[in-house]
Amino acid sequence: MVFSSVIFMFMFLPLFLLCYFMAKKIRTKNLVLLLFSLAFYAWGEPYYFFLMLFMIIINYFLTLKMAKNDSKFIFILLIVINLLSLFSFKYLNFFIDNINNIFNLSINNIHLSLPIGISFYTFQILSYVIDVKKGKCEPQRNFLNLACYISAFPQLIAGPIVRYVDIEKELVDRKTTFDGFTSGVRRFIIGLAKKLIIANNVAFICDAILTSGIKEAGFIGILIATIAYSLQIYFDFSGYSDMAIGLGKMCGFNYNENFNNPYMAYSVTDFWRRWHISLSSFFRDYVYIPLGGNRCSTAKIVRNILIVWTLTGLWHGDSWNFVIWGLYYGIILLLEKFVFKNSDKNTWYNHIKTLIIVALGWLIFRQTNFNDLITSVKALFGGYGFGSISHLYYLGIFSMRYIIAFVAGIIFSLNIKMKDGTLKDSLLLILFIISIIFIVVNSYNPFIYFRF
Amino acid sequence: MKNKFLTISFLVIIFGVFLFVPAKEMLIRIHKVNFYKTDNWKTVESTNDKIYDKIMSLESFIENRYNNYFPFYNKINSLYYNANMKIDSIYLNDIYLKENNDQDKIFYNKNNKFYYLVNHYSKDELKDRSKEYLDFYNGIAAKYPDVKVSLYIPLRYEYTTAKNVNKTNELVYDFTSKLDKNISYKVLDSKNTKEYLKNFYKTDHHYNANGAYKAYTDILDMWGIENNITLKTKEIKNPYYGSIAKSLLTTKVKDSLFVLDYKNDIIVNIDDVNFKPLEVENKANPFYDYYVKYFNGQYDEVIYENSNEYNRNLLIVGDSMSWQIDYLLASNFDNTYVINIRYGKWKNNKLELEKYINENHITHILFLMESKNIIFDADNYKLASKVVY
Repeated sequence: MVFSSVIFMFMFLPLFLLCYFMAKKIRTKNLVLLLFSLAFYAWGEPYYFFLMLFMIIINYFLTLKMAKNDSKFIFILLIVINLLSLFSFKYLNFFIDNINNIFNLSINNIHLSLPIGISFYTFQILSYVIDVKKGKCEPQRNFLNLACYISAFPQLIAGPIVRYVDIEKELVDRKTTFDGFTSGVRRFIIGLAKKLIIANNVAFICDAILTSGIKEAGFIGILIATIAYSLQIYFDFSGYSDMAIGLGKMCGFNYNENFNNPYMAYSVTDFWRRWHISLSSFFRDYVYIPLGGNRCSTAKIVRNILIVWTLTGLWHGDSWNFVIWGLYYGIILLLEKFVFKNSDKNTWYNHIKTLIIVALGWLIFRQTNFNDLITSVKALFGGYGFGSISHLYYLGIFSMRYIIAFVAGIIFSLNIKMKDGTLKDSLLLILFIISIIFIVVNSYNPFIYFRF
Repeated sequence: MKNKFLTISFLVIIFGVFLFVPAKEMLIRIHKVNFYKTDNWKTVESTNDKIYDKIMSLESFIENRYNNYFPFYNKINSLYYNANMKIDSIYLNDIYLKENNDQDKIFYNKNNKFYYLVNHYSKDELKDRSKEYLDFYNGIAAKYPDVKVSLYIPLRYEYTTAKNVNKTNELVYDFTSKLDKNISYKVLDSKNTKEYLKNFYKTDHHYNANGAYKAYTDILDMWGIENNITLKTKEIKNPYYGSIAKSLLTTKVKDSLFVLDYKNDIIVNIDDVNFKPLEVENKANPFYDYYVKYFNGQYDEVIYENSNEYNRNLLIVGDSMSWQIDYLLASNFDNTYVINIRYGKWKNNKLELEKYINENHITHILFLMESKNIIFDADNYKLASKVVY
């Protein structure tokens, strides 16, 4: 189930809010949240409900036992179980394909569909297990509370990656106020509008160009597609995070921010402080620093950065383009760290340079097929000429709704803020109604980050 | 009410729709409200797992209700596409509206006020696809020199000389120029938009009665058979909103459904009252599929048995383009076999052409489908792999 669907907006959400606010005690609210979260997760793929339940149960009992005996063995066992689950569902076929290619074998692929959001909830569980082991928090003795933390539907399938320590207190004591609820509604509508009005429409531009002949599209087509995809992925993912944060606020949770105007960054290092903050900080705290971080020799820093970025790339998908994308950033960050040391000055030149690097990165990220990637990069550097405007015309991308979404995407990538008040609320209501129209006319609108 | 109206409006809207849908379902069940289906209902493919199937059916039941009973569903769609047409027509002649279920792009031509479709493939991919089908047809002609292999290609607007979107018209004629000399073919092309609209609907992807009649006479002419039927057209529905208008749920452009006024007494193997009834009652739903209901031919194999003796038997490999004329063509043959590879037994079986030709003494094979499928297999019917020759 996706947030921007008729079934979520007009069946699931009202039913959930009704039950949630009828419950008086936190325990009952948590129970309602858990049951709805499991139903939300099971929608469309009922059997993965059992996988989720299994992961909750095993992590609940083994973490308690690990904390009681301070057992390193159980800690390692838990890390292995969680990573193995992620590997089996997400990377096994990629692994088999590569083994087949290297050794010229023909091992059959395993037909398993990817449980949605598995990368997100696995990382949430890992943060809980590691933090308990490090003594940053106590293990959760109440099964319901832990189940709620792992499976809460607002952030279950596309983040942000919420750390247990950040909502530990709210799981047992949180307040739901009208002001908090209103603030959640505002945030939810902003996210919904980002997704439906901007992301979905610029997605059309990008998909139309990249799937209907890269050579015919030429330089201009690929340039438009690359910018459109850069806007799509930002508004899609940040829109989802806004909706998650908004739903969290409605329920009394305060999730951390996941984006901070990333396209205003003036270096790639700065960009990654602003983009998918919950993932970057996860890798920083649970991989980079344990490997030695910056406090070691230059050679080890290079190794640490390359490891972290290879893993970041792989986290996004089981395909070599994601590894290339991760290494691309690893190398650029190393260059910024050791070669271009003054690249973090807040100048227009640095902004533009960062945007170009990031946009090229998104092209690598978008093209999972290696041949398409090569063709696209060649087209972007003029390898197939300027491109045919007539070809672009019959892709339909010059329709006003796409032009508006494209321009609005660029404008709203800037740091635009508006004070809460009647004017803002009126605009939000209009955006909400427009979003509903888009929900009704477009029944197909998947989130990019669902597959991660 | 400061700071409250947004939250209250939000709750009123989501709870309003939440309650509206079950209320509408109830009213429909007690026949207080007419509901006409305007969208495709989500269907669930059954597996061997009964529990899974039940859960998925329930989910699909709920999703169908909430999607299809959404308040003002048709009005919202119509408003949206009409607004797009209005705004875009300020600066565009051909206005993109949406993708249909086949991923074809629906365009609206402002000057001549009609809809047309544009494929989503790159030119390289179209070339590759046409090459596969060229080999396929040439292979059949080479294997069966005693059978008259023919193609009839009704070009939809994008491929015509009149429109020639991204020079795809060249691909069509490149394809026909490379057909084996033993294959007879005709292309229903249009030199200008006026000529196209004479033969095709403004709101539907099929040819109209004029186009169908032209196709019928072209095909007989191709085979050197004299036409012995006099045909007139008759109007059966006005206004008529065809398949493209149905995708958009807008009545902005309308057609009239004319058909060829002819009923023969040939025996058919299909024992189904819904088979090609050649009549249809008026329905409240403006987007009711009168074309399909009138000509219904959604069967894997239709066999027409004629009492006349011509000493020739026809195999038509067709789609909905053949429905308008297959029964007319059947009047000129002893037996006519119409195969639609999308349905029934062909989903899991291949058509063994040699066996079929020998068993049924086929003398003529006609491939008659939409141009995008007969040359490019754009909808992936996989004819070339399903027909083993």
